[in-house]
Amino acid sequence: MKHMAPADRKAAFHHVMRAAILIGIAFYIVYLQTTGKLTLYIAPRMTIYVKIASLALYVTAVFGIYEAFRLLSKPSAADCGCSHAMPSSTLRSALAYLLFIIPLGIAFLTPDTTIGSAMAANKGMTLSASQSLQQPADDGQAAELPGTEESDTAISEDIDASTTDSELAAEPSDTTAATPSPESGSAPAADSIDALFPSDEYTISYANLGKKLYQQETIVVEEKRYMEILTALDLFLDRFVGKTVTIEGFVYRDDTLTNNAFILGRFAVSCCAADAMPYGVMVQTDHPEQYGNDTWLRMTGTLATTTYNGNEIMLLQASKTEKIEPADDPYVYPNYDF
Amino acid sequence: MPGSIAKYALHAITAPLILLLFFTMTGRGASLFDSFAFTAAQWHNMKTVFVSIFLEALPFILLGSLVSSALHLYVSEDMVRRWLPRSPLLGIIYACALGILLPICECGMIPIMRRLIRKGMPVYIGVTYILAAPIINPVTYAATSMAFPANPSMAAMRLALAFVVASAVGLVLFRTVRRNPLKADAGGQAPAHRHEHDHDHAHGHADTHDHEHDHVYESAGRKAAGVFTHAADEFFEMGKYLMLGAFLTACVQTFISREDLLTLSGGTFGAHAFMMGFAYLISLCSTSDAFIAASFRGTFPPSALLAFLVFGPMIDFKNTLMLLSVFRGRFVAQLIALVTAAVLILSLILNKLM
Repeated sequence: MKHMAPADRKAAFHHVMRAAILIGIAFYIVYLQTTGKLTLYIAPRMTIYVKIASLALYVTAVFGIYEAFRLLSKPSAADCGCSHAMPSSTLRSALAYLLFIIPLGIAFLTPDTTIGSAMAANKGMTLSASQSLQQPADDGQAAELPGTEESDTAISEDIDASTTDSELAAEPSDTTAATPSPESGSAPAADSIDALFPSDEYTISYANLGKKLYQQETIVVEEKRYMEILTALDLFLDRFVGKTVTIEGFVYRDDTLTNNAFILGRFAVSCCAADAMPYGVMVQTDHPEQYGNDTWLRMTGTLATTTYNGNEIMLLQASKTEKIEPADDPYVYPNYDF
Repeated sequence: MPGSIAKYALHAITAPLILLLFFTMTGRGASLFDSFAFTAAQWHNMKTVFVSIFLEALPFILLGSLVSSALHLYVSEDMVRRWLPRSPLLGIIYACALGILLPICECGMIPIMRRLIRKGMPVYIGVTYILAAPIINPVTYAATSMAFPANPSMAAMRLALAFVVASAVGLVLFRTVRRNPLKADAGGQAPAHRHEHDHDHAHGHADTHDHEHDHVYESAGRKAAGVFTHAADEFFEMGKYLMLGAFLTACVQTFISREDLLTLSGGTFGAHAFMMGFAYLISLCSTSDAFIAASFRGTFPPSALLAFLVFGPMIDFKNTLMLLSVFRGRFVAQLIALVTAAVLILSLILNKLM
C-alpha cells in the first residue's frame, strides 16, 4: 500500500468514477422502468434491450469497482502492464465525465414529459394515413378502386373469414357497438360489402378491417389499432362518409388551418420517441378556441371530407367533445396483425 | 492534452454556427432570438429526443464495446488474417454480406471495426462493413417492407443500392488508402495504451509499433474480468460522441421543422439532396427510418426516398462524430464525400430508370 504508484491510484480513481456513472445510467433505466416512464422514450418492443443493457452496465460497473480495489490493495498490480485508457490530464478527464454526469443529472431531475404539438409542427402532421399504401405513379387514384379481376378471387375466399371476424370485432369495441344489428353480418350483406371494399394484395388487410368497421354503429379509433383504423378509413374514405367516428388525441394547430378547424392526433412510434410521426384527423367543432394546443380530447362526430393542400382528406364534424386526461402511454405503435 | 480540448471547443463552436447558417439561409435570422427563447415545450421535446436516442443506442453501443473488448483479448491478428479472403473483390463482397450474420447497427459496429482494423483487417473491408451492415441485414429488410406495404420492391432496392454504394466506396478505398487512417492519437496503438506511458510497463514496447501487444493475465477469470474493464474504456470513448450526437440531433429535431427544410428542396436534384441532408440531420437507426421515409411518399419520388434510406444509415450526424473518434478527420471527410457522391449519383440514375 505504501509503495503504490501514483498512476495506480489515479487509475483506481477513474475506475470508480466510471463505475459510478455506469451505475447512474443503469439506475436511471431502472427508475424509468419502475415509474412506467420508459415507454415515453422507447417503444415497448425495444424496452427489453434497454433493460438488458442496464444489467450489463451494472455488471461492467461491478468489475470496474473490483479492479479499483485490486489496484488500491496490491501495489503495482496492473497485470496487463498498461492500465487502461485513462485520460491523463485532470481537465480532460473532468470534461469527459461531465459530458455524462450533466445530462444524466438533468435527465434525472427534470420531469419526464411527452412530445406534443410543437414537435408535431416540426415533423409534419400526417392527415392521409393511407398515403404509404398508394402507388406513387397513380397519385392516389389507385386507392379508390384497387380491386381488379385477380384480386376478386382473393376476396371471395375471404367472405367467410370477414363475416365471422366482424361478429367478433363487435364484441371488443366497447362503446355504442354494444347494439350491432345481428343481421348485418349475414351472407348477402357480406356479398355487397365486398364490392364496397375492393382490395389488392397490399390493401387486403385494410379492406378486411374496413369491412369490420363499416358494420359498426360507431367506429372507435382505438389505441391499439390507431394508425391501422385511420389508414382503413382514409383508404376507403368514400364508404365511411356519414359514419359516426370516435377518436382521442391531442389538439394540434398550425397556420395553414382555418379558424374553426384543428387537428386531433397522436404520435406513432416505431422504435424510440425520436422517430415519432404524428397521425391525425382534421376536426371541426363549435367554439374550437376553447381547446388549446396539446389539450387531450375525445371527440365523436360524423365523417366528411375536405380538401387540404390539394388532397381530399377526412374531416370529422364533431357533435360531442370532451376533455380527457392524456393517455398513460401517449404514443401509439404500429400493429402488424390487426 | 490541449489538442483534445481544442477539438471539443471546435465542436462546441461549429454546431451553433451550422444552426446560425441554417436560420440565416431560411430567412429566419431576424426571428433567431425568438426561436432560441426556449419554451417549455421545446425543452420537453429536446429532452425526450435526447434521452430516447441515448437509450435506443445504449444496448448496441454496449454490445459493440463488449464484443470489441472480447476481440481485443481473445482474437489474435493471425486469426483475423486467416478469416479474411485474400482477394479484395471477394473481401468487399464478404464485408457487404457480413451484416446478414452480424446485424448490429452503426453505434455497435464502429468500436468493433476499429478493433479489427487494429488487428490487421484492411481498412477498405472494415469501412465497407460499417457502410453495408446497417442496411444489408434481415431486420432492416423486414422493417422497410413493413413501412412500404404497397411497394415491396422498395426494401429490395434499398439493399441493392446499399450493396452497390458500399462496394463502390470499398473499391475506391482499396485503390486509394495507403496510410493508416486510424486517428493519430489512437493510431496503431490500442486505445488502452495511448496514455500513461509514464508508468511501469510490465513489458515495454515502442509507441509506434503497429500492432497490439498480448495481454498477460494471471488466470482465465482475470482475463474474463478484463473484457469488462476494457469494455468500459470503449464505452466511455464512444459514449462521449454518442452524447454529443444525441444532443445535436435533439437540437435539430426541436428547432428545425421539416416544412422549413422543404423550402430548400426544388426539382429532382433538390429532392434527392434534401432527403439525404434530412437523413443526415435526424440521425435515425436503420430499423426505424423507413417509416419516416414512407411519410414523404406523396412529396418525393421513390428514388429520393431510397437516397434517404441508403444515405442515412451510412452517414449521419451521430455516426460522423463516432467515426471522428476512430478515424482521422481527413479520412472521415473523404469518406463522407465519397458516400454522398455515390448515393446521389446512383439514386439520380435510378430516378431516370424508374
